[in-house]
Amino acid sequence: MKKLWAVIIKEALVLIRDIPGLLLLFLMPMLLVIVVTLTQEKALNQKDNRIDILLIDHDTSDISRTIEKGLIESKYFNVIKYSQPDEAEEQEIKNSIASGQYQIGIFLPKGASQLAVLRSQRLIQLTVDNPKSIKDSIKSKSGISGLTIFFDPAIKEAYKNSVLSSLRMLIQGAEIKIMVSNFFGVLQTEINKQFKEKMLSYTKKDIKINIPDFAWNQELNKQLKETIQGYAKEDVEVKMPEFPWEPESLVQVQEKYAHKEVSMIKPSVVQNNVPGFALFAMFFIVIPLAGSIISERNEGAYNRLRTLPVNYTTFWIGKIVVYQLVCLLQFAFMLVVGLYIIPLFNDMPALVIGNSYFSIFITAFTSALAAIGFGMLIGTLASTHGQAATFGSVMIVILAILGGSFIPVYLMSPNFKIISQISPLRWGIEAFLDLFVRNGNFTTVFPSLLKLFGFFTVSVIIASFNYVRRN
Amino acid sequence: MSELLNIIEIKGLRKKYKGAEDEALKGIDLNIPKGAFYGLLGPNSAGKTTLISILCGLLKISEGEVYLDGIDVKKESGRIKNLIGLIPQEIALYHNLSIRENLKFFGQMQGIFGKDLKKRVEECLDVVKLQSHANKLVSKCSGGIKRRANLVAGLIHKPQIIFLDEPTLGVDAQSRNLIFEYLQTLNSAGATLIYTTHYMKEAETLCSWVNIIDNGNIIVQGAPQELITNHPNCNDLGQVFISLTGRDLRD
Repeated sequence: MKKLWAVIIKEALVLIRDIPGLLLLFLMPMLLVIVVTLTQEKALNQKDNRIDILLIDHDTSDISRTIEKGLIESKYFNVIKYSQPDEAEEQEIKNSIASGQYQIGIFLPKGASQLAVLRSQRLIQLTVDNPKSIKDSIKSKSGISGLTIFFDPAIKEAYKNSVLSSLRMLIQGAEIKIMVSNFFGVLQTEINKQFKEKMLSYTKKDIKINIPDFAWNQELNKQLKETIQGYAKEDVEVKMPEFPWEPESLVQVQEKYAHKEVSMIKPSVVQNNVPGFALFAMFFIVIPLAGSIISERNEGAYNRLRTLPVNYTTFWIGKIVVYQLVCLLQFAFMLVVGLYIIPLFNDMPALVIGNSYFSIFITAFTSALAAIGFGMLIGTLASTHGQAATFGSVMIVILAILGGSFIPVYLMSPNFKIISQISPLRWGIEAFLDLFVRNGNFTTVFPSLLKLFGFFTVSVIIASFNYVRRN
Repeated sequence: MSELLNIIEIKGLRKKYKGAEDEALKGIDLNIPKGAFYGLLGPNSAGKTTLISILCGLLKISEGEVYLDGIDVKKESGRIKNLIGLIPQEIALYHNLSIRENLKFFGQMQGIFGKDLKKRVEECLDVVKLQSHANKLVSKCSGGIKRRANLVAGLIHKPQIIFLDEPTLGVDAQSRNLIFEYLQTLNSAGATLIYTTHYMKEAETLCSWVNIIDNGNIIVQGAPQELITNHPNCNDLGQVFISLTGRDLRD
């Protein structure tokens, strides 16, 4: 028992004396739980978290006003109206979405409401003139009004569908409003006509009637029947027109993905997840790389190296080359998983990587550099393997969460969107999504590549400074 | 600068570490002749490692001048790297590489490649009798094997000046003898050896000249026998050392 007690005391002392290691044990999980909880809370609850929707409204009438009002009142969206709507064309909204600046955009062409009203009037008139053809007329899209909704191809399918259903509900509301307003105009005339005809046939007297212009079909029908039956003393059938509305019978929603060029790439969960997790995996290179730097330093090999006639940067470049190869292999492995292994499960679609092979390679290359730079930084900052492993792994998870590996950045709160800008994983994921689902090219991913390379450069400079200082 | 008979020349060398109150070296003047087997002795914290680190170009000089084979270490530390070989106290090898792989790597870093490298690696393995362990990972080797490998890794390029920081620490008598024989062979071949040890008997046997350093100052230097003779109450170098540095424990 005394020996056990002695062992416990010894272990406690060893642990307590590794102050940085101990701090990491407490601080890193704390940081992790804060970041994860806040990002999830914002993403899942949507409280105070509005998604930007770009709106170009050339219509400026009933439908557009109903949509805009509905979107704002839903509290899920932040409607951004195009600054110069008169000059904006559909292509401009498409470009804004395709560049990843916004995730959703709505384009309302000029005269959309007018077209909807005309079609509504035509359909309602048919219910009186030729009721048999109404179903075919509704199916026929001739003269139908339309709006286009653009989606970022990187947006999650489930999220896209929920936005579409919200929008369709708003449009249906607008459609019903137009239909009802036109229907009752026709209904009133038709009821007056039928009522007059029936009454005339029984009373032989022309009677002035005034049917209220707002009533529900069945109730009105019942009242009319009772009135006429009172005169006729027999059962009378009054023919009431059917309300000729089906969803999207007036305004058709055209849903499009905003690719930069004509593209056959269909967004899927595979397209989004493979780059996210490839980056996540690449950054785990930090642990062995930092470990190798720490071993070299602590085991004395570094001091021997310093007495050798070889340039200091040669050692760094040697490390960079090897770990770069490992990262590229990791990336290739992830692509193979996306291309060939995932499709083996539950009819999942295969990853489509487009044609920008060079840009994909450069993006993987610079992402790997960023990961290596981070590994070097941690290797020179940490004193022990334990510190490097704890700090490194938790930091990677945090950067991955902020970068959008687990929760898409557009679902984060505005503050977290700003914070996420510092995550090199976000730059890499953005670039890959650009290439994989937005049909991007070298020019479009260049800003992200520049950031990744900048991160690598700054990390290596700080790491070199630390390395020299420590030795 | 004086004639090149002295391969190492040190003038008024001072070293003060950042934040330290005292100087680690307090104005050292020292000349080491070419081909000497030079013992650098002293208690813990005397300044031996600091002095060796400066001579190897690992630490910056605060004040003074140091020349290795006529090369100013302060100004041209890069040029001394082909001249020197460092055998540090720690096992400065890659533990996940085999002994042969380590020797090959350090040889390549010294600019030896191809057949020359292969030949040198085999020679080194032979002299310290490591052929049968050459392909073992360092992490799997015993302490004595690691020490022998650590020794030859610093000598693969046949340096003119060899710094040995307690190279026999923790090894058995057999390995120690083998190391001694090899060091004497190197010295006979013309290499200058600067040897630090806490085993006074080793210094007495091996070194042609010793220097006792304490509190950053050289307190005495001379041939071991000469030092023993000059201290009438002492029968060996160990007693001379204690009489000069005292019995107080050092940090």
